[in-house]
Amino acid sequence: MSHTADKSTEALAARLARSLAQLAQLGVPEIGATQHETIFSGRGFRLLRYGSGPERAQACPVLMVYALVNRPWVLDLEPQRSIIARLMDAGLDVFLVEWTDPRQNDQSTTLADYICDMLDQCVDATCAVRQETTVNLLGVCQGGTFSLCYSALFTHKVRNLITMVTPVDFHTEDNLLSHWVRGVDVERMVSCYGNVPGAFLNALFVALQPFRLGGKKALDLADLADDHDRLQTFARMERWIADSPDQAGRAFADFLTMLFQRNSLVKGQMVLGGRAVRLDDIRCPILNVYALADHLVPATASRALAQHAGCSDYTELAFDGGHIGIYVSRHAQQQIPPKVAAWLQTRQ
Amino acid sequence: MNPIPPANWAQALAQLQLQFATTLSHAERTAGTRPLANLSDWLQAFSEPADPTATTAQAPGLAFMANPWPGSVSPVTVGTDRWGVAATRYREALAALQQAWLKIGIEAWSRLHDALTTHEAADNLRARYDLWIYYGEQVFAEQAHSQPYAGLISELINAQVALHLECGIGNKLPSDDPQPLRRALAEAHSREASLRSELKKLQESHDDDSTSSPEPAKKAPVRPPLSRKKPTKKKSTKQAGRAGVPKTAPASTPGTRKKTVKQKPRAAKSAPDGS
Repeated sequence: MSHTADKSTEALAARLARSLAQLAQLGVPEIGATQHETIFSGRGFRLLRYGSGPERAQACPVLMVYALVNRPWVLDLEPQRSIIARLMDAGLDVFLVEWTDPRQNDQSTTLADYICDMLDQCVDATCAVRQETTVNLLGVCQGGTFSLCYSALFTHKVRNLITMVTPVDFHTEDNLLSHWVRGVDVERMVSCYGNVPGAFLNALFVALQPFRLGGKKALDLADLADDHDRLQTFARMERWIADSPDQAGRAFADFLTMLFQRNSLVKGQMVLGGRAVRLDDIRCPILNVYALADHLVPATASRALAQHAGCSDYTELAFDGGHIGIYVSRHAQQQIPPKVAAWLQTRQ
Repeated sequence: MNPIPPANWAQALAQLQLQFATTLSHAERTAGTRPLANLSDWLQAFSEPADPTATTAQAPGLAFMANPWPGSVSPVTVGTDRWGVAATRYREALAALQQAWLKIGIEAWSRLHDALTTHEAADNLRARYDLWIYYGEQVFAEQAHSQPYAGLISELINAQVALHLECGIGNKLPSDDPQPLRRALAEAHSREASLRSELKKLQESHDDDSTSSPEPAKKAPVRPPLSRKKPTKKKSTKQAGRAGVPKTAPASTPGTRKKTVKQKPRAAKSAPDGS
């Protein structure tokens, strides 16, 4: 091997070693930067409200609904990378539904329980706090699908709906996850594990981009040596990525079979709590935000909403980035929240 | 101008991978914690790129599925008759997927080789590494979207679940069906009755011996005989305590019990926020 190659390799390895040593010294990073309080809770959820002071009452309210997979802290990773903080800066009163970890005896909690009961309780609680009769919903990823179902079933409670990187059509050609899980025997899986282990989902997500998330990330870490702030961000992201909660078994099976396997939502065949979920029942204004380079929820999967929603006021907002970048990248911080806030404020 | 002779760049990448793996391993040992999720697994999985046939011996990104024995449970603790078929199915599913990874690794390596020899090559090792990642993802995306690959993934998942089910691994709560529990209870009651009968005979025999003895036996502390007296009353008292009645408040206090026994989530709806 040439002397140049030796030196190059050694230099990279040395930088990586320095990065790792500095990373180890950081300890467990704090996540969740913006001040918030729990204003209501029930079995399986907590309702958070961000900020403080009486001026919140004058701001336009928005209730964010996050996914069951992963934690919502990616929306508030650190002060400079916080969609929530930017939405507040743009004049919104932000509420967030945080799903809590399922316990052993939550194995039979259904998807309908999450959407028709827990989410409904959060909507009612938000309305009560704001002394209003309807809410503005902002659903993120799987939480967006929840919000769509809720808006279709409880049309009288939703004033405006924003979906962000939300899967609607689960059978688009480029939906890798959907291809992979269509043959999975979900009922058997749930009968084995009860609640589906978060580690299983984590492994599956990483497997979607093995070279990038494995090899490239390792090498990029070498570039962060001696950069305390970027190492902090890296550590926070890693903490978030690795922290996947278990999934309530029945709800997981419902979501996988109804949506990933049968694609029931766009076929108009979805039933929750005995009620048919029809996207064309949604008449409130919709803002659909999607990421053009999303490997988890392809843009095509999100944009299908245009063909199925029943509203006349439908707007799309494309972001030039990926599924995670839309939450944490500086570009997204500058672009998404102000546009979301402006769209909402003109429809109050 | 390429500073590294073409014959050596592959070795250089291999050395880079090896050094990273060593560095990460050392960092994990000294720090006491894993700084990155599954990073070493990945590097191990894609190590030795100069020898593509060795690249995918491990299960990249599917570590959870590639290790069917969570925690300390090992296959030797389970009877072979019970899990043999499921274990074979799992091994075959994993082997089939590894074969697919091997093909991806070889094709990625081939495209990298072509790019570096026929086009203007990246002029440093880092750029070559990035190029290898690029071609790796490219080939992976092509394969991963295919029906056969999706079938391999789902079969691996299904095979692992089947294996876990056969071995009784999982967190599933006992079935709602009380039949097995009833059978076990009936057996326990039967054993209890038998032991009681035996105990009674022994006590009677002991009493007979004591009365016939010329000297009084030293008085031993007598254990109260096992009794079934008033089981329901005792049980109901315990359940009431479990239900959450405060110790300081009498159970009959109006209102107190209702408030503490069952929380009504909707109760706070009218005014969930005090502010």
